[in-house]
Amino acid sequence: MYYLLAGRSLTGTQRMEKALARAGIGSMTVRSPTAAQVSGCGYCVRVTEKNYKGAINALELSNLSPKHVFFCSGSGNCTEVPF
Amino acid sequence: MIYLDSAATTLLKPRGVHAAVSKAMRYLASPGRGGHRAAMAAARTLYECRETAAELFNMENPENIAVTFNATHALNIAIRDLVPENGRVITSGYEHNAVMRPLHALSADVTVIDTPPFDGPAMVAAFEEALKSAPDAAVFTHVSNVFGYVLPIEELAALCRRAGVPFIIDASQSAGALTVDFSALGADHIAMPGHKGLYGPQGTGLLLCKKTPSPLLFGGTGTDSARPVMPEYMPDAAEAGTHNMPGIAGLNAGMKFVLHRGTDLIGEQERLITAYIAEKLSDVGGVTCYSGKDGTGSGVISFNIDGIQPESTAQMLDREGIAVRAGLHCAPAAHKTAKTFPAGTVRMSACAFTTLRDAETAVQAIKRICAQDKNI
Repeated sequence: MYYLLAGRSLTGTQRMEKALARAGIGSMTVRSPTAAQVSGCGYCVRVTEKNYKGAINALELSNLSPKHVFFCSGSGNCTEVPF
Repeated sequence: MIYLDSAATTLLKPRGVHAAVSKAMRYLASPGRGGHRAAMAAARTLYECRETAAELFNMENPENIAVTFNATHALNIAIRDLVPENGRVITSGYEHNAVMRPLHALSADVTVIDTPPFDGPAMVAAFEEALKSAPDAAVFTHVSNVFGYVLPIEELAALCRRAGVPFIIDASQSAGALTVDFSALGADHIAMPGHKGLYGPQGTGLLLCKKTPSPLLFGGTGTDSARPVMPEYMPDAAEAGTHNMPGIAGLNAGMKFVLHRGTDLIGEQERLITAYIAEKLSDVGGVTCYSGKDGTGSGVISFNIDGIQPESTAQMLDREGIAVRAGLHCAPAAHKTAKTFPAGTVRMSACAFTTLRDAETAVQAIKRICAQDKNI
């Protein structure tokens, strides 16, 4: 189980990854799987379930916000969730 | 060869630039076009390039930096964003065709502030007066690519901000050699090449943006690809199509070199070179050197020899192994302002790798050309 935080652009997503790193939260920019795409191709930051709340808080503190958030199961099914 | 044409492109690059380009050609794929390792490695290099630029030009958000193919590309985006068809624009009298031609294509009503070179107060006063007409935008270069004249951009920027007039700065000859502080200047856009004072390869440029510009090119961006329209956010709105990754990797290495050595030090070295040339040529009969007082010059200097066309002088210097540029330097407006139109000038321009010995060799060659001419 993990969360995908979709940025509005690849650059925006990378910026989120950097902000999370500064906050000591491990994450990784990955290509959005089809199940986590809203308007075509995109990128997102993958964080563990354990780090999710901390990640959202850290992004808020950096004045950054994901465009969409998806909760994904190990099998790759993703559901958009409010944040 | 003694290379004194860095205002066209810095042929001499830091070693790290060569290495970065070579590595990129072997290992970096297309950023934003996949999730595999080579694509993501390219994405990381591209982001790092934006971060390096943000540090060098004091920008908080690296997303507001568009990577372009050159300064002309960046200026076209900026001008198309701010200037409507038939819009009214103020420019300095030292603009390159990269500014004047896009404005002409828009049938813009251009007020050219054609005050003499190296006279900052005159330009500031004329700009202040012209801004009273509430133009759609102002565009001005930081440094004249012909005369090396450093325009008083801090004052011009303050005037524009006060008047509420959007403005664009062309930092083609200053980026990497003078401080260009995006946050302090408050410009709407600052455009620059990557292959001059930033020591990147040709085919690179940057556009620093306060807000998202309207797109100039339309195409793939790797995101929001199901939509028929270009993304309305930076940097994607300004970056349609495949990136020049070898160029971007090299540009990143070039900017790191500039950060490491220091813009102030590089600029000071370049000014030392041109000041030396100006001083040595000042007592050579028949040579007119266009230079200003301390603080108004840069690493670019123009001169002419009485009775010899600039192109001929450049050819003679080339035969001596000295590379300079002659003619209008794509900036006829600057020559009209300085009364060197239509023949133009001979231009010498330095970079971080130019030495005083290079300058002295060029001076001696110019003296020989003058002596030969008198013997004919």
